[in-house]
Amino acid sequence: MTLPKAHNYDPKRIFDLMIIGSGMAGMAASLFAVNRNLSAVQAGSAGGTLFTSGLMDILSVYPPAERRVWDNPWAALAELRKNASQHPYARVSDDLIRRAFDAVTTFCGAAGIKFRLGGERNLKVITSMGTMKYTYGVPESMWACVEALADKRPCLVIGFQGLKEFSARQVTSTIADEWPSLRACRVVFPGTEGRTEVYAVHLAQALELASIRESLAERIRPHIADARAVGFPAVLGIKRTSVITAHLEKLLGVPVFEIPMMPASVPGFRLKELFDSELPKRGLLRLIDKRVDSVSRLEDGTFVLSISGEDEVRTIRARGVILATGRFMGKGILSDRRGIFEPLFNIPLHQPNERALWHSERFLDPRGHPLNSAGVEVDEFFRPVDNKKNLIHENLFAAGTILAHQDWMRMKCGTGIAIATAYAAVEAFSEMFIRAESKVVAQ
Amino acid sequence: MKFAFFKGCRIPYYLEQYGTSTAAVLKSFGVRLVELDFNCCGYPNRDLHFESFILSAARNMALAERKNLDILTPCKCCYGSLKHAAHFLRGSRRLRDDINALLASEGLEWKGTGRVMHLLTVLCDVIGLPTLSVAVKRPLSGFMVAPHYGCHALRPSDVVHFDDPLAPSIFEDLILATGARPVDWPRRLDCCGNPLLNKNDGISLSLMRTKIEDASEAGADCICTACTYCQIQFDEVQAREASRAQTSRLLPSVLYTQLLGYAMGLPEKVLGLGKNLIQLQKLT
Amino acid sequence: MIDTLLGSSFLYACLYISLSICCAGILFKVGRWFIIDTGPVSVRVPRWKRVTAAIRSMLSALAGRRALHLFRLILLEGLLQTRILKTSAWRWMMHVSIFVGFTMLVLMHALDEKTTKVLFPEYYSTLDPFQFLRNLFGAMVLFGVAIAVIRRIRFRKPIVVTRGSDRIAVAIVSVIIATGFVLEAIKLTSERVYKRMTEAFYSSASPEDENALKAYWAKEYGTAFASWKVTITPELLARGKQIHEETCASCHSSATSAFISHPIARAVRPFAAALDRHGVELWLYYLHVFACFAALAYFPFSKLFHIITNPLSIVINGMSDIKDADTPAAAPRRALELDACTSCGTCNRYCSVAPVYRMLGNMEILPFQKLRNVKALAAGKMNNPAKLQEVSEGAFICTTCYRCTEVCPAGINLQDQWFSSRALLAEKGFPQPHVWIKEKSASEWSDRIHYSERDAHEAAPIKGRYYNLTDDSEIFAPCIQCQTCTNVCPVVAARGDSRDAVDISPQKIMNLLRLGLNDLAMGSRMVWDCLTCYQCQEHCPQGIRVTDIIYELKNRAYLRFREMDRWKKVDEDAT
Repeated sequence: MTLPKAHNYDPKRIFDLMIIGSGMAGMAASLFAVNRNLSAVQAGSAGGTLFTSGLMDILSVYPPAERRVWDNPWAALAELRKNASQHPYARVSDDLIRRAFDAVTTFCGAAGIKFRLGGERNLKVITSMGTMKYTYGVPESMWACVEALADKRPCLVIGFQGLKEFSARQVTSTIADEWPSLRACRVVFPGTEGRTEVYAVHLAQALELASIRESLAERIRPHIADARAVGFPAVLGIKRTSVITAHLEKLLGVPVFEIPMMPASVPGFRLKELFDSELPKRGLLRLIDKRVDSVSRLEDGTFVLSISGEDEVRTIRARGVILATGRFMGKGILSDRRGIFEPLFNIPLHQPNERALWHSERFLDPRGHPLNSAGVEVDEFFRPVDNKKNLIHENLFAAGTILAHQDWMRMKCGTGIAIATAYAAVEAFSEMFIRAESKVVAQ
Repeated sequence: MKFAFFKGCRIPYYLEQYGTSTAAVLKSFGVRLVELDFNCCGYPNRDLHFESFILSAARNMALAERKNLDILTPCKCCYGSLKHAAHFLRGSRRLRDDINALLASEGLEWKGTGRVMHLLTVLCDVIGLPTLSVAVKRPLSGFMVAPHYGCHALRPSDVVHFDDPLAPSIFEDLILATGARPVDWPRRLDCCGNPLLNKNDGISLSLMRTKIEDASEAGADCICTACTYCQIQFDEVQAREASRAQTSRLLPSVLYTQLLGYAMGLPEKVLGLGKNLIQLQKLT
Repeated sequence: MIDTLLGSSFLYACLYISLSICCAGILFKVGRWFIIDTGPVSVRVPRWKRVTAAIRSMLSALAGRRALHLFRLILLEGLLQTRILKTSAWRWMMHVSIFVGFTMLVLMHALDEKTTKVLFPEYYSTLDPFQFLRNLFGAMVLFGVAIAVIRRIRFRKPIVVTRGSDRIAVAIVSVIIATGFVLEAIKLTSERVYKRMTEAFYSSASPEDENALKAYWAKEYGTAFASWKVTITPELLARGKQIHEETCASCHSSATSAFISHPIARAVRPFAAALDRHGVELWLYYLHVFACFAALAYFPFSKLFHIITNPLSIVINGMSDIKDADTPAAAPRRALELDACTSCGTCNRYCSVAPVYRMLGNMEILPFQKLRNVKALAAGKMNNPAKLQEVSEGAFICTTCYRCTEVCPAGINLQDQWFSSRALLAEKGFPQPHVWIKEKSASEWSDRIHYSERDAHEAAPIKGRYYNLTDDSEIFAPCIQCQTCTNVCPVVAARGDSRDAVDISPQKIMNLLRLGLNDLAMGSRMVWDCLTCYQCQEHCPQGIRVTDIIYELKNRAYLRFREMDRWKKVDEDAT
């Protein structure tokens, strides 16, 4: 009855899959693994999904050098596959991408965060910088923005005194040309009178209380006037966003939406909480805040991973590993004066020949920097290969932004790559190493 | 099954009912509790002096080790303190040697072989949920309970090894065993505020009030605690504040051993429900 | 004994003087209980109220069912001294021996005219069982004293502290008992005493009979007859025995029942003549009697006063709720308790924070020392800020667990003493560290550190011997200021500060460390308002041990700040 926990699992047990990394790729891989009834362990730092914006991109800018924005992500994908055959997207089909997104959004929806997908087109939302963003999956709490923006309806954006990372005025003034009827106003969040600094998560937690919502609505009502929707910085609760949004809509009489913010933001926090609380319930052994120190491999191919801990060394045995450790910030890739390297498996990375070639001269060069597309190269099953295309290990897979030949920040394809490659990797592992009798459980 | 019973400094004179109810519940499952010449766990002193905290904790663990007993404690602050000290001692040979040099004058030595377990872990993993369920004679059906996890047993998870720090379930499982329904409340993993009592009452009481409001709004009939300090905060401090601020809305708080003991049909004499300052109507 | 005083009005006068001093002393002490204040000024009760409150609680103690409880208290804890037995069988034996021995000696021996003679008309001090009992009781006292002395040598400071008054008490009691034994011994050997007795009770004796009796007494009692050259034959002894049984035996039992004095008599026999010549017996008698008078007069000012104060404190605290002790009658009780402490050190032995004392080295942490501080504070004898800081540290490290109160054999409500003296210390400007440290801002502390460094010509940062998180940039350099720690911190959420400051959130503390401004971080409000709930450390995406770092800052700050004179004016412009 008690699921295996970090402190009471059997160290001799050989798990099916070990997923290293707790970003979108790692979390998605964990989800796909438990959906297939694989016994899975996941380790990673506490970050990862924390830094997501809450939006799910497939592809909106291609090629980045031209800054060409696409209304239809699938068309963009077709173009990409024609010209960039080594991009991770080139190895997955549209159908796989759709299935992966479906699985993730179904899971999130069941756990309380519903997503709306664009279907055949990208969706447009505004950001806390006042810029326009094209994305594919939008959380329900941000949907009203998509609709309002589409017709350029008159709307009101609320800023909170002391919330330094969000200025309603900046939003409205930056997007003024595109959306002239967007108005800004600033209120004092209930309970923060006199404070010069407030923080997003605290506001979100406070909004879980009905009394706070009522008090807030009272302060906003006088400003609504002709606004057909009200936009907030993304602070509408952590666990019960839909309840909070619905209540505010009732109190204000108009639809309400959240505006995505800079990382680390509350929607990222929500996703993290969601994955952290729901995946273990489905049987994932989640080693929170644990980093894999080192890996060794037995003769039969079983990986033995050593998990860091100050006073005790713990090991996990697994039949396969998915490496989804991300790039520099998450320490999936490290660098020194000579080059970049992958610290766990010592996978030789695709990278510029010398350090001098890492970066362009212009910091904000729209083509990005050569180093951005460095990373792990893989075969068609997403297994890492070296520069001679030899497999590193037959049961080692890689997914997410650690992969080479993609520039997710400029192409706006981060989530898509994470989820799709994770899906492909789990699928490949499952077909190769788990006996055919294992059923795939549609979730 | 025998454990060294580490009550801590508060139970004997400030929350006697926790000691008696814990002992009674455990006794009925055949667990023997041995009382040793323990001193303070060191938690209050960690703020001021690291080595004093380590020595305080180490002495307790060494006393239990000498008798070949694992430590069972019902207080989460004590639990966290002992686990932290063990963690630091394991991480520094120098510290270990210095501390053991001082303990040697009493014929004690800290080896780190003894386990420190919290009451809930013993109930859930050692005695086992099925055994608990079977012992329940009057299930608390329809009773909505908000489990309060507290902080020091839960975090930091790599030191305390209690449960999943972001999505723990042990307390809910234990409440279900009594027949009651655990409530999912957003702030269930937040701090009760007691560590700052008398140091910064403004913050301490504000935290307490927020938690109580949150639990009430989630539909709880009461909060359930498994830590001496948390219970004091939600019972004694809430009552005191309520009489000072003249608020009428009080949310009772019960100890898990009182809840389970009641469900098991243990007598009021050992449960001490009447000693809780805020009375829980459904159980009295 | 006293009938010999009848002939000496000098001795009687001395007795009455001692008695008056004793009574006056007792009155003085009792009066002081209603005058002394050990608690904070702000809640002081007027003195007359204390008297009435005390009287009221005394009366209520006798009411109804409580009288039964009172009786049990007096019987078990007062007479049978179960409180001591709870913590130590040896000490219980020690104390019961002294208690029973001395009490019986006073009743049976010192006041024999008034008590023993009345109950047993045939009483004579050298008659059994009284002679035996006297020796027994004296032996018990010495046995107890021996245990006490050995214990005090074995367990030295800081657990057991031996004061001057302890030594004096031991000395007086020992002198009384020892002189009693030696006196008895000398009397056995003394020819002069023998002559006194025979002149009074056997004057008309023939020389042969005289010799016979002498022979008997020389053999059986060890009396030494100077220049008495008579051969002792069995016939002489037999005759002596016969005379003895006719004349002396009704008042004199065999000397062997005086099992302490008799061996001493045997030992001093060779010197008996010399002792007699110098009238040592008389001097010893005076010494013995004056030791008693001195004890009587000194009684209320000595440790022996615990004979009165301890039963009182046992009963008072046994009849009241020790947790709810802050009543109007509290002040006199607390003052009484100060006189009840016998410096036995049991409280120190069981103190829950004794390990902290071992590490920090501050003796004022231990309960016995704390009680002395309470006394000194009440007497106005503590004004040095550095000393007060030490005392305050000791007072607030206490975890208020009531253990000392539970084990105190004198029944003192120690915990209540600590609560009220803490309040007094806080009133005087020495509250607990979290409070006095937050009285200054982070920059004020930082300035003070640099000022005192300039002053003392030392810039030694306090490095931890075992862990140094705050110096190790590997630990906090990964901080990317993502503000997650701040966002999950409940203290930041709950704070109602209106001032904008650099020291009020966890990520700002990390920033201070990255900038090398550890000194500024040490006195910051975030550090001292930290709940230690570990949310920040658990959520940090870079795995930074935020809470542990804050703990280390607290520890370093405390070690630094507690040494500083925090009232000194800081002149930042001085070079």
